[in-house]
Amino acid sequence: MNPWPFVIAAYAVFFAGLGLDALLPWLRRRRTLIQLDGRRRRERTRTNREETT
Amino acid sequence: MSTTPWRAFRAVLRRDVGLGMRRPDDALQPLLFALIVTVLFPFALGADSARLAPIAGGVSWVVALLALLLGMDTVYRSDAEDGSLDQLLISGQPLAMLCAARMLAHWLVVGLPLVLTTPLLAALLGMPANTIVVALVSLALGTGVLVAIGHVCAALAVVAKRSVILVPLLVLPLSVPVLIFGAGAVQATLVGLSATAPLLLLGAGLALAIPLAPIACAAALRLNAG
Amino acid sequence: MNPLVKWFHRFGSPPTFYRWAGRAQPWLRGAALLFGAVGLYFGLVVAPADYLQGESVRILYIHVPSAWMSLFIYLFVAANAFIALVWRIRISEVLSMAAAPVGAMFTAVTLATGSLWGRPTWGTYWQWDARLTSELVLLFLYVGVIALFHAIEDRRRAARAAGLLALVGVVNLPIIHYSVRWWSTLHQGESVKLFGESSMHESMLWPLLMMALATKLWFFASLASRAQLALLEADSDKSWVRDMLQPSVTQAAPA
Repeated sequence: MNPWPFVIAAYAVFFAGLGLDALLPWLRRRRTLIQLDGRRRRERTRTNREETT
Repeated sequence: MSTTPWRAFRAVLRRDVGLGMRRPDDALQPLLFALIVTVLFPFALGADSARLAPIAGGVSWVVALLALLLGMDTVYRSDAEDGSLDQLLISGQPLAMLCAARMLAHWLVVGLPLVLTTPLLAALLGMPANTIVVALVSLALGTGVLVAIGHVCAALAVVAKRSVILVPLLVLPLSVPVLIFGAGAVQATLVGLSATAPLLLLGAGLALAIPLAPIACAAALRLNAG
Repeated sequence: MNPLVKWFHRFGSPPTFYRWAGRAQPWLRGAALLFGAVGLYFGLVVAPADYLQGESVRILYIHVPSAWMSLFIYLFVAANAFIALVWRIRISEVLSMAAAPVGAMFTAVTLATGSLWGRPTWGTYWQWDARLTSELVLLFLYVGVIALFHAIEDRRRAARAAGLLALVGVVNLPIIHYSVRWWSTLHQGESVKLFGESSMHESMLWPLLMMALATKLWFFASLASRAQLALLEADSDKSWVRDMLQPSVTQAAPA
């Protein structure tokens, strides 16, 4: 049996695992920072509005 | 009135066993489940007893494990939700004693009946008589350990979102050794080998579980409810 | 207070740890990739094929380090859970829960690469041998810890409960391993070992050790990134997060 397809598949799984391990937190971090930024903007608008009324 | 831990143990034991006897559902449901699932196997595998007998030991064990898991996730939940858990925490009694009492009560109400119906279920699957004896002993020891493991996992998940699969998921890897040695004992008898080694290991497991599991259970409850 | 505990508290203060982790991360990742590249070069290009197994032995260089990491990380989770439960150190709660998914990933990779290695070597994709079966049970232990952590609302309580579960698991790990070994010898005697009694030739050993180091560095890099994220989310309304995200002080409405 030709071993190479299995070797390649195994390495693909390994790198896919590492890639997902790096990717998923990075995506979530981006989403969290955007959320926090949005929250901060809304607060600042509210504070400004309170002060001008 | 001052209560010794021993008296508190007996009080919880009496209360839980009493509850179990007044509401026989807790005992009957796992039994019914075990019976139903056991009967599924001949339907699935064919009526040929030559095919059923070799796997009878393993099937009995898996069925017992699943049946025990049925009512496992709620053993502490109602107490956590209605506040009696907090009462127990401040009662001054060692929580581990109370957990031990609850584990024993659970085994008496659910585990023991399950063990006692094993001969019937095993006979349905064509297990020979001498093997049934070993199955009985292995289950008597093993169900004790499984109840202990189940209680620890239920206590860990007591404040978790309600989920049918969570407690079984937690129990499963921890119960692998019990299953291996329990079913292994039955399997050994079936092929004519001695079941002493796995049975002794099961006994050792029970001996370890009796002091340690209540401590782990109490730690989990304190962590979650405190 | 015990000086070590004091150091933990100081080092574990969220803004300190966040900054430190952010600075360490690129170095750890870079080192991991560097050692990985060198290790794989020596393993795939320089080292010879195995006498018995041929080229399929190349999977060794990712399967074995993944297996080592799957176990190492579980011990890391348990150790930090112990610290978190005994000394109530918050950063240990964060570290143990951040490490768990990485450990689960390595365990899954170990199983998949083991299965792919088995096909050309044993002829089947799955063999219930002691080591792979133990690894499968380890995967369930990881999944349980992660599931419990996500099922409880209070993050700190969730981390401590899942941590206690990991501790129960780590105590059971030798028992599980021994029982699985006993169980695997019941059937068909000795199963085919992936590597026989022959000690490894050094042309294979060095790439393997280098990959082991690379995966370890990768784990620490991943841990830093995940721990940062966890602190960010948990403390999102605290002042240190605000100050860090907007270096300029919030002004009142301009005059």
